[in-house]
Amino acid sequence: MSTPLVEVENLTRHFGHVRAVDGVSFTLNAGQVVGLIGANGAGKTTTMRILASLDVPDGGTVRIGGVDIVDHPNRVRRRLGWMPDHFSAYKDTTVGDYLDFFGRAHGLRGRELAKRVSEVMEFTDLAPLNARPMDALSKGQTQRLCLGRMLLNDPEFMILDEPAAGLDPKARLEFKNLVRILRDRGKTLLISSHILSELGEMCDTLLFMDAGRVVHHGDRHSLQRLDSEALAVFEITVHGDVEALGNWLAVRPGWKLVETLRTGARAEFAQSDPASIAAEVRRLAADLHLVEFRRQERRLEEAFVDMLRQGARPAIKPPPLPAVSVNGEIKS
Amino acid sequence: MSTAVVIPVAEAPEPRFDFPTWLPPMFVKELRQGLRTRGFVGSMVGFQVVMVVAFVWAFAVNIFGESDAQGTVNGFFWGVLGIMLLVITPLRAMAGLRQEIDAKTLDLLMLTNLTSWRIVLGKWTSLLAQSALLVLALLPYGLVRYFFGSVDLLQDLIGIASMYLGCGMLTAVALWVSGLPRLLRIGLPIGLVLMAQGMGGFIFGGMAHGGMRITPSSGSGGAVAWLMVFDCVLLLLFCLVQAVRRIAPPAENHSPLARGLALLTLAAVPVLYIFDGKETAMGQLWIAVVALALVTIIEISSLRRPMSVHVRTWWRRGRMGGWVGRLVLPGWPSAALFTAFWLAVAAVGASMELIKLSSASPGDMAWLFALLWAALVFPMVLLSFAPNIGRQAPLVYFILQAAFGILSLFIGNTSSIRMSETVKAIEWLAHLLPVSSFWLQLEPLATHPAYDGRYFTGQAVMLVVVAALAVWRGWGYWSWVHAQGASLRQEKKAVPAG
Repeated sequence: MSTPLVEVENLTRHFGHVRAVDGVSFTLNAGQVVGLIGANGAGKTTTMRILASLDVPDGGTVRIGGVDIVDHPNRVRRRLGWMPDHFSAYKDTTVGDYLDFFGRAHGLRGRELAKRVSEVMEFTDLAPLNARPMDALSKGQTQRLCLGRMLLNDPEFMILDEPAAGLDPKARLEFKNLVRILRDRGKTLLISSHILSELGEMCDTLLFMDAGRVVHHGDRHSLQRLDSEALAVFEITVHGDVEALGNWLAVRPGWKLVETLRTGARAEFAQSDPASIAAEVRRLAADLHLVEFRRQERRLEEAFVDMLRQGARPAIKPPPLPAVSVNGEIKS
Repeated sequence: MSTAVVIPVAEAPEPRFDFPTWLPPMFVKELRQGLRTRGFVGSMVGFQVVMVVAFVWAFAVNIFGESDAQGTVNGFFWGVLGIMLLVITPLRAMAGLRQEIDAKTLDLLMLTNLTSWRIVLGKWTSLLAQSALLVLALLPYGLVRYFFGSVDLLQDLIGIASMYLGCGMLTAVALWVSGLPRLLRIGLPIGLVLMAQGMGGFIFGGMAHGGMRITPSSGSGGAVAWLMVFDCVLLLLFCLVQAVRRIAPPAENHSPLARGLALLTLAAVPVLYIFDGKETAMGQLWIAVVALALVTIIEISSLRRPMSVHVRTWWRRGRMGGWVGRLVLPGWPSAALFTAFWLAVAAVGASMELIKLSSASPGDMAWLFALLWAALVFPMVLLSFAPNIGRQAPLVYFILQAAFGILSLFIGNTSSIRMSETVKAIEWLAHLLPVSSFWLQLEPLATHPAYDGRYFTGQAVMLVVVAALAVWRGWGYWSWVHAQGASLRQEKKAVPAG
């Protein structure tokens, strides 16, 4: 078995009496894309800053490629890429100047520098913006520039803090494609975001943090499976009165309304055996004008919120990389 | 193993030619930005306009012979040069590190091959290069001054070089200040200006008294001029070290350099004693003591514990390295040891009668230095009981020092008037407390030859108590340091065995 690229052991960081990071431990293998998820104040950014050697932990160790980041930050930094959540543009600086400077700062010189800057501009589609002042870029263009800067030294391990925040749908899609290419090239990425579904699509495994601790570490399906034996989620479409459906769900034992839709509702049923579900479908069809009854995978957000509501679970070992999942579906 | 991400371009493009790639990256970046700023462009245009108007007016005055055109032209030339080098450039440096810290762009710089030193030096050299461009743009007016006569080229060059050195020093101070928190950013320049006034008065007053001129070679005066350049360069380097510290990762220890530079002021004393005589050496010893005390205040007001890498760097160099390491580790216990070291060296100087202060004997001076050690260390011993103060430690340390200083001032001013029993009791206490005892001891040495030492026993007890407290509160610190040293020795032994 290969040595993990990133080893985090019992990491702690306090700000006064606040425990921003409280005994966090995990490992990341090379070539993984890992999502870091948690509410505001969960400790994501602090953890990422420590991993990027930009902050020092009060306790615990972090090793990247076997090198301790506290004792030897400069050795680790050459292998790191960092994309912060907040990015301020330099005044009086063009896109070309910016990339040229960071290329020089990474030790590139002469033709090698010009070539590398040109390549990065092509990859991030920034070439047409070469002479544009940085403070005149859109949010999406700025994020691409920030990604381009991070790629100049071709880092092994990249840390991206809320990279998709504030991007429009087109820029979001472009960004996802760039992450996919990076993964295909064998890079290790740690990405934080509030948008769980988006991370679920991009990442191999997910690290869930709450109150400074890792509460779950696994692929998206492992979290969704946590309660799947007891709970099943359905999307119900009816013809006519949606309110009647709400009332029906409220009085029927075992049902819980999750979300009211324009033509129906999403609801959880306490039992997942096919016979019970089939009985409920028959009852529903008899009581209301049922159009469609579809079993759904639990949304990542719902699974995460449920997990937090039930209290922090002990961190679990990450499973092997996810296989393609098959949803059980019952159609009326 | 990962592969390169980007798709190679078909043809390698031509490199950019605005600045060659062998130039330091930070210098290039700052120049590209700086030359486009309103501050630079405005200064360049504004000063040209002022000089053109001033010279045209001086020509007119010269033709009609109404007043002293030469004096006007000289005044404008040196005035504009002074404003440019000693005001505008340092003011521009005030935004240097702050801009990067506020915009969080410093994080991005720190993750490149740039070290904190290269970042600070890049900013500093770029500002000096920009001010050099402004000076060059003004030189034609310097030449036109010959039209009005009586211009001394050597004095002009010395004047410009002195201003440029002053510009470098003030820019370094401004860069340091730019990295400080808001409160200190306002307070420190005021303190430095006050201190510079005091020290300037002391130095120039001494020079005027001795009839010295600033010329590179004229006996004692020449030595003083070179000494001033030497001290200015040390101050400049010290300010740059402080600026570097503001942005350096915690794994870097800049205490050896900061303390080493301060010690160099002391090292100049015997050199001056041998080559120039007692008086210059005495002046430098005073400057060294003041400089070292100020550096100690900065160094000691930290509750930080050294990191493993700090200890190992020195212990790896053998027994001697370990001893030097004890003097230069971050944190107050090591700074307290360093203070004891330089005060002992200064006391040796005093015992060699380098210092003559009215009737003060070498013993009095040694006692004064012992009280100075207690004055510098005691507030930190107090703060060690409140470890949660953390980053506020320097501020609380300064407040404690100021409070004791005000107490001394109060007692000093009331000693000549009729005192109540309460004030007398406070006076007794102030003479025995660690910080105020030093300030109150300093005054009788200078003004009252018949100082009778009636507080001696009480002060001796106080010194023993402060030293014992310092050892007690620093015990954990030193235990940890020695444990790191011991683990390194064990590792060293294990390597050949393995």
